Amino acid sequence: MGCEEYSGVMLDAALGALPAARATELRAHVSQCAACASGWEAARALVAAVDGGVARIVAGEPSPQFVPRLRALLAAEAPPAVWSWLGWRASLGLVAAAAAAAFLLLRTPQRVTHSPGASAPALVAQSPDSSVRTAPVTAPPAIARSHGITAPVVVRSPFDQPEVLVPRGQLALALLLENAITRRQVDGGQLSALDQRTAAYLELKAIEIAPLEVRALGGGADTRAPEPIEQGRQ
Amino acid sequence: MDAVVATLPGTALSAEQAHAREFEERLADCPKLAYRVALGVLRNPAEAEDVAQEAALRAYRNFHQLRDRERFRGWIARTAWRLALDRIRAAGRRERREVAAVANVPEPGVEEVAASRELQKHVERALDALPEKLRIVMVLAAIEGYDTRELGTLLDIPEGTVRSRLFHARKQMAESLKWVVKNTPA
Repeated sequence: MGCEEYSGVMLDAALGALPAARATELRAHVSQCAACASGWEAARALVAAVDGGVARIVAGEPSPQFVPRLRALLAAEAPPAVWSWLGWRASLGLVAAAAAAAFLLLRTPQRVTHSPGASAPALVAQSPDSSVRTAPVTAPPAIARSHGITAPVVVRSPFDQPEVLVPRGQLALALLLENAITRRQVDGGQLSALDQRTAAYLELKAIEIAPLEVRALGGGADTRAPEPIEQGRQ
Repeated sequence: MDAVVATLPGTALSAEQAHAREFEERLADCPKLAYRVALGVLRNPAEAEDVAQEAALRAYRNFHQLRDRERFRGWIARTAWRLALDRIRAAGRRERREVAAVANVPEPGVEEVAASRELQKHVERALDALPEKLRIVMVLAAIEGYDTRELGTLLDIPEGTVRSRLFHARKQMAESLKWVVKNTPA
């Protein structure tokens, strides 16, 4: 490297951004070249002027009254209402939930209810576009029976998601079924047909039992005396 | 309720008491930091105190929203920085600040060239000319006791980014002051 190249990297070197090997090389050159030594000192003075100038800007101390005044202000400040703020947030959540529920009730034209005559609760698959509704899909009776569906619970999810009637404690099962139908992994009709076939295999039939023939005791009875037990021994 | 809790033995505290106590501990040396950060922007001690106070009050009011309490110092420093910038922008006090800065320059330091008030004014102008991201790193680095790792924590940026920004800030300022300092290499 020549003097011109060294001169070009002197500022970087003064800022400490030159790789160690090149910095060592520069210092070796500066120790032998008077012109570059002068430039090197100027670069260091420039960086010192920058650092020192900025340090002077922020070197001031606050006045002695500053901290006591701040403490007084903080003491006068009402304590931050941590819990009331949480309560306010919870209230806001309740209001939002109520508004969402009201919105869904008003927007949903068809409300699915569980009539006593129905064999199983209905599951309505509803597309995200509320104007397009698929036909109601009936959950297979076997599932309803096996899970003891008695009193359905209406579960409404926001944003026009499928509306499902599930029995208490069976929400996960209903959600799985709903998910499968929504993703078209399972067809409700096929499920129903499968259930009917399964039901056919398990159909209960009365067993006919022939009455036992019991000879009447008394008249006509075998009057022979029972064989002694010893008779059977060898 | 608080009065009842306060009479109980042990360390039982109400939520608000615990909140206030933790804030008090966190705040310990922060007003000075906030003051210096504000001074780096405003160059006016009285205004810097106002901003530091406002930053501390805001921190107190919103302390419960700060999930990571270890970031309190950075939080209050950035709040002071933003408040100071807002004050500058809102009031258009650049000229007034420059006048005040000249009056508040301390006694000359070790470096002879930097000791001159004329040079100090140029340094301040060069600092003001920096992009905001570089300027806050430069100001915080100049506050005594902060290395690049701590600056990274304060500003919530990687240490490498701090080093890079600091280098560019110092180089940009040095380049703009070359014509002021004699015998500067080309």
